[in-house]
Amino acid sequence: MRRGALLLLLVAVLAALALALAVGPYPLALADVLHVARRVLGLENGAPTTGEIVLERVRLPRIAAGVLVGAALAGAGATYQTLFRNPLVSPDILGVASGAGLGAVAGILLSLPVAGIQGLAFVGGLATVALVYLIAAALRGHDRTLVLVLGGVVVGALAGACISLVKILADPYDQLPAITFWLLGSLAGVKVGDLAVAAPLVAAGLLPLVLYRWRIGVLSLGDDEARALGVHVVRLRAAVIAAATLMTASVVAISGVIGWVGLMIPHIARMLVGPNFARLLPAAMLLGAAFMLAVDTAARSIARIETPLGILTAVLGAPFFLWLLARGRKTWG
Amino acid sequence: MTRIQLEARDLAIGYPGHLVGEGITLSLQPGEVLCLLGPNGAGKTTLFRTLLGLQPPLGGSVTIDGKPLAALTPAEIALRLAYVPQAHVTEFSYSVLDVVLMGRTARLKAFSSPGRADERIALEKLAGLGIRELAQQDYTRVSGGQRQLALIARALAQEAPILVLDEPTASLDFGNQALVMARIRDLARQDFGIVLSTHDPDQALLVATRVAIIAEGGLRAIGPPAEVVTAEMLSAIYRTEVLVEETPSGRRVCVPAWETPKPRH
Repeated sequence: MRRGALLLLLVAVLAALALALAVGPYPLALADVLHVARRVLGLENGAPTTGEIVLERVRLPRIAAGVLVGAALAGAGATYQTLFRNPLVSPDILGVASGAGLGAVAGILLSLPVAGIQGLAFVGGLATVALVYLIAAALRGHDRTLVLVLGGVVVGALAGACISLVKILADPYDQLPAITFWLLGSLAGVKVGDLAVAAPLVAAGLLPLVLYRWRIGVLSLGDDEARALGVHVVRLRAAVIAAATLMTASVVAISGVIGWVGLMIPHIARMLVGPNFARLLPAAMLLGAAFMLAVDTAARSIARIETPLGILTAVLGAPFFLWLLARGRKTWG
Repeated sequence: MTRIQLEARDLAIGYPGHLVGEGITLSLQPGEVLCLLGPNGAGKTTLFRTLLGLQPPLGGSVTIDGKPLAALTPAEIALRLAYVPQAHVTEFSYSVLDVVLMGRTARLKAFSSPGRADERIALEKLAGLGIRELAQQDYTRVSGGQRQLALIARALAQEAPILVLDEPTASLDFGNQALVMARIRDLARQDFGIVLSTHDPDQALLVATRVAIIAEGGLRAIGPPAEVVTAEMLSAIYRTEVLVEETPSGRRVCVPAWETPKPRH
């Protein structure tokens, strides 16, 4: 099971890709995909069909965004859960989502262009986590992990209050719906240009996680043991937090806040491949990509209007967690 | 020829603003079992953490092979000194082999994972402790004694010449306690230098070559078990009357001085 699981997940991603390509308000056929592929290779000339335009301009960027966002959120979630030795931790544990949310709604309030909103969201996410980290570092003599998590809760709550304030100040007909929609997450507005910025940032965050995959697993034994085993705990933890935060902030900036993915997917991945971080990280990322593609496909096909992703993931995530609780195991996956 | 592996000189331990103990001087040679005895709250754990470099000393110094601990990186310390914590349950269900493999971390390059050679060493250490067959089992589901042995195997996989064990028999049943103590004695015979803390003075009499008594702000006594583990000393540090008696087979055991109930007929 554990050996073949990664291969199985890869198949799942490919299946989700095929589904996401075919299904949507404008149904596409395999022929359209082949046409686009031939055109890219210079084998076809002439005016593109409507199907080809939909595929190239709308659906492909959206699918790429789904893969990127799902993989990044699930990868960051797996990282934080291992780092904090807690399976209930999600990528926004240190306040990255609330910080990014605050940045984005501020951008919407100031009527900034999309790029400005995304930039503020990205900066807000990073700045919030940096603030939490500095608070934890300043409060010496306490349990570092506990102070980090509590600091994240406090700063996150503060950012949440600021978001509420902005909602009150915002124009209720124009800005408020935009804010609400952003806070629930969507891939509908993602452009190729957004991906070109976000993808390298996600890759940059992913690199240290892949390089230090073994040592990150050792951190899950706790500070004292990891240090006694030869890991420079403070340095590695800072690097890992920075990397996972970069991944999360980069995708939250383009997709908005999509909850539950970073919490739920690492769980399922751990059930499939075990807790070993070197296997958990790729498994969570593959599963996250497949899941996000499937949910986004549903989001654009179950109703006449786009369903916000945050709503769908919550509807799926909440029962999943109750099921986990009902299983009543002492350890997680 | 004797060689000092681990040495604490005039060590003051504690946290900033809170001195736990001072004037602690002790040393360890290969093949020795140094047993730390002391009542709850006397500072055994703090001393341990200081010896392991997990917290800085408030004064004095700790040296390993003549090098000051403060000048060594975590990896350099881990190559010389392996820590065996109390058997705990990890949050995630690693296999026993996964846990033992983590002992190889200090020997790996920064970006690498354990390979076949590391796996062979880990399995060897498990076999040496008689739990080779547990390798693929879930670490969170084996017995407490087996978990403790797995943690000892992890320390051995670290291939450090000094082992530091924190109450290795706490929460183990009698049979597992005897098993773990027997393994510790075997390891000392293989020339490991061993420091262990315990709540049970009988264990000190069983395996220790030297005993250090930690009580009331520092090192009360250090020396061979026969000289240090005495009725007077134990009665004083544990604040209860204790007898140290010799059994017919010539061993010494510690018992509380009150009369045990007689069976009624």
